[in-house]
Amino acid sequence: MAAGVGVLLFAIPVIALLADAPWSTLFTQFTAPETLTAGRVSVIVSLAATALAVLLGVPMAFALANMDFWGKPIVRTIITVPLVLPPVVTGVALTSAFGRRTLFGELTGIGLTSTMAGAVLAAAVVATPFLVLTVEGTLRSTDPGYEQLAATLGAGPLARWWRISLPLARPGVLAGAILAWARALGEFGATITFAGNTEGSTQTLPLEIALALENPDTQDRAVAVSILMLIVSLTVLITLRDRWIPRR
Amino acid sequence: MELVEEGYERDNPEVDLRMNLAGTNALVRQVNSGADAAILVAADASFLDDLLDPPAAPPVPLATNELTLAVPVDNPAGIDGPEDLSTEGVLTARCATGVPCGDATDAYLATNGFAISRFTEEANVRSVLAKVSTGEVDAGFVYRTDTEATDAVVEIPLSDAPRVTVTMARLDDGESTTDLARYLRSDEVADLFARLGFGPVDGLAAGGGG
Repeated sequence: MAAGVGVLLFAIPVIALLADAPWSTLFTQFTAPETLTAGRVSVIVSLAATALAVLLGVPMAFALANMDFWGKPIVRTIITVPLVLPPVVTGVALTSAFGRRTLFGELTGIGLTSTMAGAVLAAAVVATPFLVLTVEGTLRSTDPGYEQLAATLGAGPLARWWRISLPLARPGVLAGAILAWARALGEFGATITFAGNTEGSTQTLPLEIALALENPDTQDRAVAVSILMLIVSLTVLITLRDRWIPRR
Repeated sequence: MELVEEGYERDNPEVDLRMNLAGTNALVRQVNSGADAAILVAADASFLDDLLDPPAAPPVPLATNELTLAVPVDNPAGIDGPEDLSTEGVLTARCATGVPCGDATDAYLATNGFAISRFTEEANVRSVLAKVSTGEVDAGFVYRTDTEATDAVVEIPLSDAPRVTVTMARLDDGESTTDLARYLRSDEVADLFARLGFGPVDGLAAGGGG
């Protein structure tokens, strides 16, 4: 019963969105120059953010799962913070940390506002916790016996990590990467607050939707692009899930 | 608007005025999707045309405002006027086309033939102001009143700046709404608007009284 209500809660908005769709002009809206540009930015930014999330998140997950160090609960909490904070606040925090007027900005001379690097950073910060938590969960449920066995056979720490632990964690890393990508693709608040909304560099599809929604003349495009995002993310999620994550 | 709320609640302690503060477009969208609001105050009169149901009474202009250019206090890019915004590397924040400050910006740029080299488009004027005051952009198009409200930005006045008319629309004709509408047109609120840097409405005293 509750499960059925749950499914409805998720299904009804999707159906309502489809019902609102400007079907006759849908394809024209998909291929509008603004949509194509924002789509390209979205693809690049979400993939780069996922790569960053994997590079930074996998080592963090291993440290959290396998190592004992002082302050571990605090570290885990800090990594989890972007899950709880409104993304806008994450954006404000990023501006305070890496904005033009900060020590970072003064030293490097880099203004990340309106640059794609800024959009990638914003999306990565918001997306990485999903990967870390997923990978850590997988690691905790793997049998430490394999690694111990490898150690008794003379494998060094690095070889054990590369040959045993990492392959065992693979499903977790892939599932975490998919989650992180999905979150990065939908990122809005941190991006617009920290990186701004510049066509061709930081204006991703969600930002285009929000902007199109502001203007009564372009509200049809907002719905059309929402449907495009829905199609893309569903396709990717369904295909990758079946391919990468073994069914039980 | 917070000051309006304070003033009204001071005079009417039995009323808890609930304010929903957002960009004009967001407010119009909320009202159109059925938000239960008594009065809508829009940054410019033209945006009331987007209301699906006509207001309960003809809209009343309350004050006027003017587009202007704001730069961070230390003006890092050395902006002297709108002609500097086309310089390579200068980053400008502006409202998106379709929101009141964005349409005013479009009109201003088109009329005067100015171009801006690189810009970030924001959904409302407050985000533009925030980007300027934090120094994340070199300049931004905001309203006069925005620059007066903060010490974090410096105003560069524009000649022939487009004006917008802050306009109130009554969405229901209940008694409490009438009372609030009267308050919004009172001298007290007119003074408040004037103190914040709003201009008077042409042709009629801004505080016509209810």
